[in-house]
Amino acid sequence: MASEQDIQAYIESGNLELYASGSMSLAESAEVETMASQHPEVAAELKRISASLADYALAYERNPRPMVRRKLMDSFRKNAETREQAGPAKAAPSSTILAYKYLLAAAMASLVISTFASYFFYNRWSETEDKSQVLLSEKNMFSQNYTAVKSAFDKSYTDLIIMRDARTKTFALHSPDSTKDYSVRIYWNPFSHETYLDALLMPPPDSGKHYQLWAVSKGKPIDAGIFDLSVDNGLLRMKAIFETESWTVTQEPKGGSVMPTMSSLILETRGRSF
Amino acid sequence: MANQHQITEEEAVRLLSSRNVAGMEMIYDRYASAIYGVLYRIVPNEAVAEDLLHQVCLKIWNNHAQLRDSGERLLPWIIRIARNTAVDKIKSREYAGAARSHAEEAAHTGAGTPATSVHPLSESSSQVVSRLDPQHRELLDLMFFSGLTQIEVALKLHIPLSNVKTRARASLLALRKSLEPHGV
Repeated sequence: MASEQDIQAYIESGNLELYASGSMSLAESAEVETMASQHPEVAAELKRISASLADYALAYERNPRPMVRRKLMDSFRKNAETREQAGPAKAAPSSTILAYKYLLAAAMASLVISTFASYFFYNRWSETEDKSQVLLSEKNMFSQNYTAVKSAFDKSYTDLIIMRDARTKTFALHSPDSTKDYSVRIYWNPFSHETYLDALLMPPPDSGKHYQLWAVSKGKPIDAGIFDLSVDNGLLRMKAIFETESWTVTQEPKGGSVMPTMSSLILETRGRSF
Repeated sequence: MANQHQITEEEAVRLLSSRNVAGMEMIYDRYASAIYGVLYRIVPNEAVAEDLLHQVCLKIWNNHAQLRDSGERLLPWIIRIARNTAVDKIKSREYAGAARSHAEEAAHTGAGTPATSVHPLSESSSQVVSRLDPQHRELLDLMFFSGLTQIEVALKLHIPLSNVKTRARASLLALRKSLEPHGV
């Protein structure tokens, strides 16, 4: 693959020295090993470099304490005697290393557990968050519904109390034109003077006009207030009336009139209903 | 003399393979100071270096078949084991931090000067090293005793990686040259 020149260049590159001195990463070392296995010249040079470096290392020779030898040889004798069970891994680890191993194992285990726990609780939390959002919006909806129902009920209840009051007098108003079956009821309490109007069947007033209720006492009309039919909300509270025998409704310019415009009479009492 | 060494080496390895402690004793008597020197150079702590010496001897005891398979000489093989064992130690968690940087610093500045001769084998080695150009020595020390990778060496010396390689080659050739008159 490579020419002799290339191989020589490779030998001179300095890679082999770095490899032999252990300064190369695993990947870089692999390249050198491949070259050495393919080219005997490279392998031979590598050996020479290793030998030179070993000689260099000898410059730093230093004697260990004499007691080290006896201790070491004793352990080897023991090792040789029990060679079946002896392995490099068995003899090597000191208690410290063993302790670190246990610590590492424990740390790894707790990491795994806490990772799972985090994941689990995160999911639970997300679910709970979603649920609580749903519940919150449901709660808001119910609360709004309740308020609406409550206010409708309150109104109906109040209306009912007015209508059921024994002192309340009820008047039915109809159109003088018998072809029109408009119908309005007046609830009047002669003691509290409260007046309520219930528009059962009425067209909306002409544009720019209001309906006006009049109490008629001793032939004289008394203004009882204006109304339109823009909101259908049960009984309409009208002006307090002290005395009356009958009622009429006229159509008046917006805001009402001081005296009824009798030409636009819409309704009148025909008699007490109940 | 070299031939005699060779015979002793082969005998020692043969004894090792038959699990004879005498083989270990031969190797220890011959190379313990070389091994310990490398260990102490990288981990300058007597107790730790002695513990590492024990580990290195165990590796020799257990892995001697590797040596026979590779056809390598005993000393380079042993020195490499010692170097790797010590570097693994300084790179280990328990030894990280101050101790490691101290080792780097020592290797970088060339502190821990070569020990005075304690063994017949090394008679010339310390002289050889002292004859080396300080720049070559610095690089050899960084490569061999610091545990730094070539990239880290480049960063440390503030030179490009290609220059580290060139210098590595030049340093080794200088070393080889200075060894020659005293070798064989």
